[in-house]
This record gives sequence, structure tokens and C-alpha cells, in this order.
Amino acid sequence: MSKQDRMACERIERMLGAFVDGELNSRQAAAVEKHVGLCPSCARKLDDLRTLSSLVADAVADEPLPPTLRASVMRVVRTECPDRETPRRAPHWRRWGTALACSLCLVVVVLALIVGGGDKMMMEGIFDANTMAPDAPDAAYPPYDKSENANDSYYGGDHDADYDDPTSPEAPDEPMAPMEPSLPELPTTGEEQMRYMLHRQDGAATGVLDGEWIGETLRLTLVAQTGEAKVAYSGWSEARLAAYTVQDGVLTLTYEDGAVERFDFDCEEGVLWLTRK
Amino acid sequence: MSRDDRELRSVIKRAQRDDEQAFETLMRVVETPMYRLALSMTRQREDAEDATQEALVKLWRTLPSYRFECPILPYALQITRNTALDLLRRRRARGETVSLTVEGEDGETVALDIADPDESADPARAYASEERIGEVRRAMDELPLELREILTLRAIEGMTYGQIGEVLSLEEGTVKSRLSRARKKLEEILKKRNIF
Repeated sequence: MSKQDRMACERIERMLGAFVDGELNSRQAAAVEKHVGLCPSCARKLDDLRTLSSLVADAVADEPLPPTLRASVMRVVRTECPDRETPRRAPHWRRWGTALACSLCLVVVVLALIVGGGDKMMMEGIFDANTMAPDAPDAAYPPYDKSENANDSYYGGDHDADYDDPTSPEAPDEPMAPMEPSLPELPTTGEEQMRYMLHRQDGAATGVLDGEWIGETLRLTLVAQTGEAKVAYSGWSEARLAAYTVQDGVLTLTYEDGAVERFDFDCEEGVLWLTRK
Repeated sequence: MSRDDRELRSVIKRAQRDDEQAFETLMRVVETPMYRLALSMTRQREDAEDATQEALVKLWRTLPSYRFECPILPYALQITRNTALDLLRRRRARGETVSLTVEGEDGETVALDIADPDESADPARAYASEERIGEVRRAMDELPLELREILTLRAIEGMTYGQIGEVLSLEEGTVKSRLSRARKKLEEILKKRNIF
């Protein structure tokens, strides 16, 4: 065997384990397959490795689960959660359900502070999560719903119809008033995607906010005329937001039931992270 | 995300909200891999059962803070590993040693059989196969803990190098090299006993 062949065998031998485990990319796997097709020694090593892996898998799988294990665990679980009618209350930020307040308001607050260099952005929920299910990847922007009902949930009945149309010459150009905590319905399962239209108060910019669940984190991508910013937020709350303050890089949310949550702001490479304190 | 993944996520979320039935469903998914890892680490059934039970209770208690950053199985196995390590430390502190042999009636030491072979349609073949599995298990028991646990994790269906790395807090490259070392060592032991 030449030195070159020996080196090729050594290189392939180092990859055999990952090949058996399915951890090679297609190019690497093809190289291994080609080499073992031509090299009897490496082919034997591959067979041995497969046999060994199979023996280990059999040895590990051969042991049955103790029959009393599950019952023992459930006894403890039931002791710690005796009353299923009134489950123990999780902290606010973990309660799921119809989230009517925190998230979107929080995003609005954050966007207002971060995106557009301080200009305030309005956000309206155009549709609920069902119309932007992950199964509908080709869904385009929906028609903008100018009906009164579509906007009431956000504006709480105090909605000014002229606000809706970004091209309206009537849109006021004063700085926007502080955000009202009334919000559209939000998806609650973390499975749906969402899309919102954004209109700057003076009508000078429009944008699209796409929301995507990644695990328990809501990642919102805003594309607006002023540039691009991403917002990531983790956690939802069931309680309605009563007030918020932003001071010294800390966002404080106060809910109607008196609960308070605080987050640190951190903006890194265009992504805004909110870390619960 | 596959349908199974969605269903599992839904089960986990319900369990996070104190749904006992959901937790029991979740337990059926993770209990066997957890037990197998605990057994490979402790090498004794009773200790493995204790460690697994403790780990499952810890899983129940910490589930509300699980954020889906990684799949549930590596998360559960990480808890199992830490629990088993605690148990091994307690055993060492008490001066207990783990023995794989017991003294037979005639004074000879015999290997402790940790599995009872099942009969198949071909008893001789089944016995030979079970004996081989027993030998492999005994050979694995002789490996250092870090090599034993990585072989077991790899043998647990569906565990990628990345997920194994999460359980053991290792980089993927280290997982790969440690797995290679474990296999070489195991092969040496088995060849010495003419099992391989």
C-alpha cells in the first residue's frame, strides 16, 4: 500500500463512526461509500463497527423498565398537585390563554422606542392567527380591513378611522399619544404565524411585522422604510396591561391585577432581546 | 415541525399547566431512555430505578421552566445524568463499591447477571444471543463512566451528536472523538473474551 493510500484509509477510518451514526453530510458519506467499495480493509472495519454498534444497541435495549417506576412517580406528582380543579398558579409571565395585552403592547412599545429613530409606529392586527397558519406559506398580505370592528379591539372604540389609511392626507403629524393597552387577539399556542401592517402616524412609512414562534420565543421581524429591525420576545401574559414605563434600559409592565414584570433591554445587531429580570 | 412533534409540544405545555395525565403521557416518551442511561451509569437495577424515579420527579418540578430550547429528551437525560452522578457520589461517600461479581456457593466468584434471558422459538440460539448480549453489557460495565454513558446515549434511538453534546455539555467534535474512543475500548475488551 502506498503512503497516499494509507493516508486515505486513515482519513476514512476517522469518519467511519460518524458514517455509521448518520452524522456525515452527503459529500462526506459519498466519499466513505466510494472508498469502502474499493478498499477491503476499510470495508471490514466498517462491518465491525456496524456489528459493534448493533451489539451495544441490543445490550442497552435489552433491559426492561421496572414495573413500579411509573406508579411511584405519579404518586409524588399527585401529592404535589392534589387539586386538579385549581391548579397551582404559575407566575404571570407563564400563563397562557387568550393573551390580550402584554405581547403586542410590549412590541409596540419596543418598536416605538427602537425602530425609526424614535418615531412612533402604530400597529394593527389585520387578521387573527388562523389566516396565517404555517400551512399557508403562500398567503400574501391580506386585504386591509377598514371595517370598524377590525379596529375596535385595538383602539378600544376610540378609533379614528383616518388613522387607518397610511396615504390619507388627513393623517395627523403630531407625535403619537401614549399607547393604549387595548390590543387585538393574539395566538395562544405558539404554532401560528402572524402578520401585521404598520402605519406610521404621519403616513410616511408603512411596514410589515411578521411574527414567528420559535419555541417559546416570539420573533418579530419588522421591515419598514427606515430599515430593518428584529424584535424577539419571550413570554406571554393573560392579564391585561394597565401601564408601562421605560427607564434606564428597564421596561416595567404593570398589569390590571397588580402584577409587575420587568425586563432588561438589549439590542444586538438589529435584534432586540427582552430579558426578564 | 412534524405532527408528532406538535402533539408532543402540546402534551408538554399541558403538563406545564399541572395536567397530570399529560405528564404521564410525557413520561411514557422519556422514561425508558432515562432508565437505560441511569442503569448504564449506576450498573445496578435498584440504583437505576431510584435515580430514574428521582429524575422524573425533578422533570415534573422543573417542567414549567422548560423553554423548548432543545428537544425534551436531551433535557430529561441531562436531569437523569446529574441525578445518577449525585447518587454515585453519595455511594462513594458512604464507601460502597459496585461489584459485578458475587460469591457462589462453592466459593467461586461468578458474574452478576443483570438480565434474565427470554426464551425464543430457538432456545439454543436465543441463549447464545442473550449470552452475547450479557457479555457485551458486562464489557460495557468495565468501561470508565464517561465512555459507558456516551455509548448508551448514542444507542438511545434518535440521539444525535448535538443532542448528546447537550446532555454531556460537550462540543460535537468531542462527542465524536469520545464515542470513537469508547468503541475502540469496548472492541478491545470483547476481542479479549472472543465475543467479537
